[in-house]
Amino acid sequence: MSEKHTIYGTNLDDVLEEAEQPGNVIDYQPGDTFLHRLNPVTKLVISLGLITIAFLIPDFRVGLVLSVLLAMVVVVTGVYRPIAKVLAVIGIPLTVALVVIQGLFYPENQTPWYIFESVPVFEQIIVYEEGLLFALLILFRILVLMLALLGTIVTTHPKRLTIALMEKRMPSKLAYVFLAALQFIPQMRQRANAILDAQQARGLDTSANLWRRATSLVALLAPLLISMLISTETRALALESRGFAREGERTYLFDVPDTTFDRALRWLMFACVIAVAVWRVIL
Amino acid sequence: MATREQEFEDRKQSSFIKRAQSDFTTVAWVLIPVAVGINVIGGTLTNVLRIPLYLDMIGTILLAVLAGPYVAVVGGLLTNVVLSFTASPTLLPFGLVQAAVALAVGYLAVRGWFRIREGKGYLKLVGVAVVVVLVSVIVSSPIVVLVFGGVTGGPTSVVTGVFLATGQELITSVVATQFLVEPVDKIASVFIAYFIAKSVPERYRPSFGQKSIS
Repeated sequence: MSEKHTIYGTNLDDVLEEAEQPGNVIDYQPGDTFLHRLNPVTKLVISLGLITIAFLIPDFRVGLVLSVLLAMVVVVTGVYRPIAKVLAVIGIPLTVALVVIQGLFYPENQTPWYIFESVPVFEQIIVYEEGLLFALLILFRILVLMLALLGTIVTTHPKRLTIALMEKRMPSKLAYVFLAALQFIPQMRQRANAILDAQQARGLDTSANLWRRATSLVALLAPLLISMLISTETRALALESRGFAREGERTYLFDVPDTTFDRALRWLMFACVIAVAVWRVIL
Repeated sequence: MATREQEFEDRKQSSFIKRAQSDFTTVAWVLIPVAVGINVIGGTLTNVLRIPLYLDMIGTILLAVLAGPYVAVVGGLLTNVVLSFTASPTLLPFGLVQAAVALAVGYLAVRGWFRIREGKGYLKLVGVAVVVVLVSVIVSSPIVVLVFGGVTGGPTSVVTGVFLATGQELITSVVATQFLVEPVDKIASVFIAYFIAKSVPERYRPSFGQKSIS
């Protein structure tokens, strides 16, 4: 954000980063780019709009164009590193599976596109055009989905996202639940490891047969749940003492500006989606 | 015991809004993020214990039993929103599966399918698992076909590929794959969720959970 907040002389962003326990695959990338400055709701609306458009039009070129545009935005803003990681982990197996399975076995396959001759076991393997086109269509749609949402997630601090959504009338309890869940996961992972160690010390065998291992899951998850419940009771009291359930106006630690430009972008996106939908229905 | 079942009788007669309002107590709100965490951690623990299942719904089922269907729907949808922040946004559409399972399990919990008093009663849990399998196949198959073109890139894609190779339609292949993969996973999830729910001390259970389990 353009404005610089400080708490006791320390930059607010640094304080937040310290308070957070990273460890998620997709972490917020601090920065001050065009994408960071957009209102989170605008980013969400644009992402969902682009995804809708990509899924409405059954032509892979639309997905291709949108993907290239999104990729350019992501690279220009310099937040491509975590995105590339997720794309590689999720995208590569998906691409391979889609191209192989649809290229070979898509039910509407007719036109051979490439023939592998003299393959052992099979006489020949035929890759079909229809299947490949279908695979490309699906791939670029998913690529649009991933790039748009990852771009939004990586450039938006979850706290800013929830404040922006609360300003758009999202119930504050829902916002709390979302932020708490995000924070709990690294915590719970640590706790789960501690419980695993403790149960192993008591003789839990992680190399026993499958049935034993499956039942030992209860011995791991039950203490995890109960210990979380005990600590959340304290948390609930703390929240209540600070007016969690109170109605009425709230003030936020951050100011998330919603500019005219943001509003214009949202309406533009909305109009585009409607136009595409109408065009699809008429054709 | 009779009075407890009586309380669920009241529930059946009250309106939807009243039921939802009475479910969303502070204890229930506090449970939601914990259940989301259990959904996510369940997947991690299966890796540690090398159990070849997903078990990514234990938290949602737990929430449906402890806090009722509507709270569980919020928890289920939230799980996949959180997962798209921590793992991959491609998981977002599958939130609908969690929500549908949450509704089904919550409904069964109201009908007393988690009140087990004798050894034979565990058959009820098998019944719940069958419903969960049906619901999740019915909801997830269209998502797999429409969003992913039938192939999600996981190990199950190979099974779908085999079905496609035998000349099946895309949707039939996906449904068949799901029916092969889901039952064991969902039976395990339902049983594990039940035993965890039972081990929660009564004072930490929301009022719904005090009535639904025994």
